Amino acid sequence: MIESRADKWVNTVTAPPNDVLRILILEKRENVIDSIEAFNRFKYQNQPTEDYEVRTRLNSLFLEIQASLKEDMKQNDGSFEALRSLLYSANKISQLLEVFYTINEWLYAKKLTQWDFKKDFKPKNIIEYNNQYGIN
Amino acid sequence: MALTKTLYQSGLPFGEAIVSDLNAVIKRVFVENKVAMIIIDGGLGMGKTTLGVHLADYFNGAYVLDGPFYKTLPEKLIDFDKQLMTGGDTFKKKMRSLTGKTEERVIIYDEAGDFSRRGALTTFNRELNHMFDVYRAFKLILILILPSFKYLDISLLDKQIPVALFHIGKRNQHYGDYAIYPLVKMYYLLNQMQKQIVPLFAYKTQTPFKQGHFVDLTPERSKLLDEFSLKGKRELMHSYEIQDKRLLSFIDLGARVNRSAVWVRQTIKKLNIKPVKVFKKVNYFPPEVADQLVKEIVI
Repeated sequence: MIESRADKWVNTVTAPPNDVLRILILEKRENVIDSIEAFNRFKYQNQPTEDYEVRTRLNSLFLEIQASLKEDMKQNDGSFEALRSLLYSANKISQLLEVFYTINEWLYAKKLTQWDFKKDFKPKNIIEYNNQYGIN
Repeated sequence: MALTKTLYQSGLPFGEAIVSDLNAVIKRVFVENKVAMIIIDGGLGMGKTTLGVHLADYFNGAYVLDGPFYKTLPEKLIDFDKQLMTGGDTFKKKMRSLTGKTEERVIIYDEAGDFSRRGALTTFNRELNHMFDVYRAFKLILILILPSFKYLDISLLDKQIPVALFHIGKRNQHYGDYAIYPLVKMYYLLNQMQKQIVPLFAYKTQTPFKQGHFVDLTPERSKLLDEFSLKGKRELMHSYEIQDKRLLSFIDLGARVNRSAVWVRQTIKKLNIKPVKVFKKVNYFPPEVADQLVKEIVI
C-alpha cells in the first residue's frame, strides 16, 4: 500500500502544535523588539525616523495571539477592543509601545516569557527549616 | 558592686531572634497537636539549665509582648518543683503522674545523660522511649538537657521528636552563647561526631541556623535554682550508688524471697540487721541479706 503524502506529513511532525505556536509567538515578539531597536538606532542619532516597521511587526504579533487574547480578555469588558483600536489608530511610537507593553505583560502572565520561576525560600524558624526537608 | 544584667532591652533574657522559633514550637504543640522537644547540650557549668529555664519560662507564657518590649509575668515563671526534673527516675515519676488535664505546658528533663545510646537495651531506656512516644497526648513541650549530644539515643531523632538542638559554646560571667541546629543538621552533627577525634570539632563543620546570647537568671531565682539543682544532683548521686551497689529495699527483698514487705521488715528487725543506706526515708540493704532471709523462711 502506498502511503499518502498527508500520512507522511503527520508522521514527520515531532512537536505538538502547542509548542510550535509558542515558538511562533516568541519569534514574532522578538521581531517587534528588533524593529524597536532599529527605530531607536535612528532616533538616538537624531535622524528622521519611520515607525512602519514597528507597526507592521506589532500587527503580526497581535494577529498571532488575537484569538487567545480576546478569549482571555473576555472578562474585562472593552479592554480587548480598546487595545485593538489603539493599535490600529496609533499615530505615535509611544502608543505603539504602550500596546507592546500590554501584550508583553500578558505573555509574561501566560508564562510564555516567564523564566524566573525559582523562588528563593528562606526559612524563618526551625520548624520551617525542618519542613523544607520533608520533616513535618 | 558590679551589676548583673538579667534582661535585655527587649525585656527577654535571650536574643529576640529566636522568638519566632519558640512561637513556632508553641504553635506546633498546642495548635497543630504535634510533638516537639528541644535539646540543650553544652559542657559542665555552661548554663544549660539556665537557658532551659529561660526557654521554659517563655513557653509557660511568662514573657508577654507589651508594646515594643516584653513584660515579665512573675506568676507565670515555671515552678522548679513541678516542672524541673533532675535525672531519669524523677522524670519518669513525673510523667507517670501526668493526666490529660495537666496545667503544665513545659517540662525540663535535666541531667538527661542517663538516657544514652550505651544503655539502649536497658529497661530504663526502653521505658523512657515509650514515654517519649506517648507524651504528645499530654500537650507538653519537653526540654532535654544533657552534657553531650553525642551519646543521645538516636532512635529519638528517627522518630522526629526533637525539633532543634541548642548548643552552648561558651559562657562568661555576663552572658552565655548558644547556637541552634535544626533536626536535619543534628543528623550531620552526629555523623561528624563519630568521625572527628575531638567530637566538639563537629560543631565547626555545621553552620548553625541561628546564634545568640542569653543572660543569667535573677539573683533570687538563680540561688533557688542552684539549691534545687544541687538537691537534684545529690539525689542523683544517691540513686546511682543504690544502683551500682545493687542495694535492696524491703519491697525488693520481699520480691526476692517471695514474702511480703511486712514479713521482711519484721525478720530483719529480729535478725538485728542494720541498713547500709537510708535515702528518702527508705532503708537499703546489701543483696546478701536476701540469703539470710531465705534461711529464716519456715515451711
